[in-house]
Amino acid sequence: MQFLPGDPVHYLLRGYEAEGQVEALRKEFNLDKPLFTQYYIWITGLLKGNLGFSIFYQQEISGIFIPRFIATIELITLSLILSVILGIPLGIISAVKVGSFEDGLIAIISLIGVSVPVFVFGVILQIIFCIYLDILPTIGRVSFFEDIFDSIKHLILPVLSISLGLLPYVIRNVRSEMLEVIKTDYIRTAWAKGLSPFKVYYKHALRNSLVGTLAVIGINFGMLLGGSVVTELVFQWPGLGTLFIQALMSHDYQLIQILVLVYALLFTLVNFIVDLIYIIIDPRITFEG
Amino acid sequence: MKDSLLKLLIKGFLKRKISLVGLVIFLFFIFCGIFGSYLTPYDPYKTKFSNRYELPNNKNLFGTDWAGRDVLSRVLVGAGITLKISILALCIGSVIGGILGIIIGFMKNSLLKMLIIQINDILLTFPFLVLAILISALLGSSLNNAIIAIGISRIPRYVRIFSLVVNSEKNKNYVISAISIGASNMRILFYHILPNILPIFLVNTVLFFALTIIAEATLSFIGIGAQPPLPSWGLMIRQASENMLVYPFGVIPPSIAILLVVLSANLMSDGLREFMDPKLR
Amino acid sequence: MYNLIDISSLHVDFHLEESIVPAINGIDLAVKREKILGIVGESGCGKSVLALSIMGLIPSPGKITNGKILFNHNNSEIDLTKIDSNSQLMRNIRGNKISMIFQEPMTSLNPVFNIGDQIIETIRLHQKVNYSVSKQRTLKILNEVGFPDPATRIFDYPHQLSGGMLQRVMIAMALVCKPLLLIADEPTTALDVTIQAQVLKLMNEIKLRFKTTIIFITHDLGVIAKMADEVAIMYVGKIVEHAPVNEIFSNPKHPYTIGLLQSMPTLNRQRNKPLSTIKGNVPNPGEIKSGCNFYPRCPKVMSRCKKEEPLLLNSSKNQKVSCFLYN
Repeated sequence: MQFLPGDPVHYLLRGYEAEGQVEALRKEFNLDKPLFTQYYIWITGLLKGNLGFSIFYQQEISGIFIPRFIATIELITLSLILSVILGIPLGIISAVKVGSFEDGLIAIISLIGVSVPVFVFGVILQIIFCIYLDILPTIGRVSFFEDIFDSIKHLILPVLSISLGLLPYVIRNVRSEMLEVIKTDYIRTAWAKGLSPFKVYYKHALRNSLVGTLAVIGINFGMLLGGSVVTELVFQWPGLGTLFIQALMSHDYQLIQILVLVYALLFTLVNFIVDLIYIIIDPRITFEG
Repeated sequence: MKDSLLKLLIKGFLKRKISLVGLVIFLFFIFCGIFGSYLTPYDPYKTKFSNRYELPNNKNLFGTDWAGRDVLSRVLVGAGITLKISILALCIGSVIGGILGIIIGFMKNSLLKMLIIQINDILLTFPFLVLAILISALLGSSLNNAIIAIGISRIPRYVRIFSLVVNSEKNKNYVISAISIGASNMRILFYHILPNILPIFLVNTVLFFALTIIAEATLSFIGIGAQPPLPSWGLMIRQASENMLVYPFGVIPPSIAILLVVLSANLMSDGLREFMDPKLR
Repeated sequence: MYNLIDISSLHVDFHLEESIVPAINGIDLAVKREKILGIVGESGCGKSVLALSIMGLIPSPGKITNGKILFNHNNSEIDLTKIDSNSQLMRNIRGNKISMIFQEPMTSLNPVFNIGDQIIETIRLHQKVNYSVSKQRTLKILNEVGFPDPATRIFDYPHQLSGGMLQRVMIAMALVCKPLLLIADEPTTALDVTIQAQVLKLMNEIKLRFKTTIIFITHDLGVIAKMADEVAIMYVGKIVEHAPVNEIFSNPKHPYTIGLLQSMPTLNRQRNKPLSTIKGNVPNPGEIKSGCNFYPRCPKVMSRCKKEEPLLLNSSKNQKVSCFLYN
């Protein structure tokens, strides 16, 4: 970190520096000690629950952190759920009606979805719903506990925005998995038993496609994170994303380090959960496998 | 061998309608990128505050932005910026990534090699966008730094591609026989191994092209990439969104531009992939 | 109502991109109650398509383009070709009144559900009983098909079981609702010979105990000899001979049947004689535009055979042949 250009103290003082002040502040933030020592101080502090001190916000990081974390988790989980709820049926329809008009339409929408940066979704949604129709608020977040309806109104567009980014991947994956599964012998048996199309597709076929779909979610979780950072910016959502960008702009090293760590942990956690779900869903995979 | 695989690829690519549509749009984009600055009806940087927020009309085909600048001209120059960025970033990524990947591929299996590959895999798991944002911000907010950041973020993927292919090919018979007749390492590399990488490289690069454009737009939008008054498309959307209350239309032209170019890259990539799939099975 | 199934003039076409393939080219077939009808033919003759037609499960781009399949039960006649294959009516019949089992037991069961649940699902689909009653019935039927140790293994997964056991599970699942008709499409082809014998014995027992009518599809004449009461020989989408099993083996009429029987290697044949074959190859459906489908390969071909199509007619009391040698 400290090799990089951009000195946090200079940023902080921004022109009001006097020689002594720079040195004094440096000392306070331990920036004068050798690199190795700085890291040591950081890690031991971390283990004690001390997340460090944000130079920009002039307060303990732990204080800033939690509410922002919750805000971001809100966005990410809801977006994931929405993508899956919309993506699975669309993918199934696409697979069952291969080559039809519906399949083509869904394919085109997917293609457009991956050809556009996530923030464009956000901005366009803002224009349509906030400016033209004026039914939803443009920016900001309201806590769930204060006012449920207002909270939801603020959530809709950001969540929709992020979901639209992930949706095409889910659809494509579900479609290709289902296409394979539909041709199998056991699906033929399911038809022969007299099961309804809904049961055949949503119970028997889907269960087998889920393994692949989970894989795509795991792989694209990174995209979800990236998308959430930008979307938070568009909607000025007080989450980790906006915090991250702010920290980057102001070279707030402590904060940046913590956030990168958090993102990495989140990532690992998600991959771990995905692996767990694999084991639960597919009886052929056991702990030894 | 090198001719036939590549030729097959191109023939298959051209046969498909989607790839052709993609190719056409893409070529149009390249044309605008190269010659755009000469074709602008107005100076893209010239502000004219008496003429702000115009909707498309006879004088300004795409209207004017918040500073009265002609949007069409800016979009055209923006094409050039986008082109320049993508090519440079992809070069950085593929050249450095390629060289590293080849070196790693040729290495004998050892602890060091495993370690390097493991580190690379860890880097790979990081979302591309987040990595690019991180690097770019730390280098300082400018267009050139954005290019470097995106390029660097692409390296792990290229390393992986190149190292995997080189690793698997180097043990194949035709390489061993080439060595036995005294071919030098360089010759083996260029004449024998690299041509086999070409198809995968091509498919991936087209894909990365699309991702790079999106990454640059995102970085500019955040404010970490191109700085005003450069007419980078991402930056244009940012500026337009800041004025969306008064002039919502401003978002449309640059968004459509991004959409078309990335769409064309995706179409070509899909066409290539469709063709390659049955072969790979 | 002597016949359980009456098929008349059935035509099934597959509409491919560049051509229309007549997989079934005019079939009349009667399936007698509580008997085992064997359908014999080589790969591609359309026997599986025939079975799927009865079930309403012909995969697209196949369609029934002509004919009737009458299903006689409950003193009423239903034409199965007229029922929409996704309708409630057809779904009530599948798995319940008419069941089907397939060739590959290893892949015919859903790998992510255990076998007990899959059988229970069938029961609860067609009968209004609760879970524990369904479980009881499942255990009972598994017992009846000779599945070893049902109580412990009822919730095993398909990948934990062998082919023979899986086929028993399939049979159990097909029979649990006491269907009137069981269609078995090459159920033993993928099994070891010893297991094959067990499964065949089981199916005979089923016929007697449950009074199920069985349509047994195979390419193996030896299996037919053991199982069937009547045999129908299929060639390129048509039935060429239909007779009681004894007659087929002792007095085969159609040259194709004779050729099939002769090409079966038997234990007591002379060792230095070459195996006899039917000359030529099986034509693709629709390839032969006029006359009898078999005429290019028939050792007894006459000039008439190239021009006219022989009809399936009675040559004696129980036997039907489609050949100009006999009518």
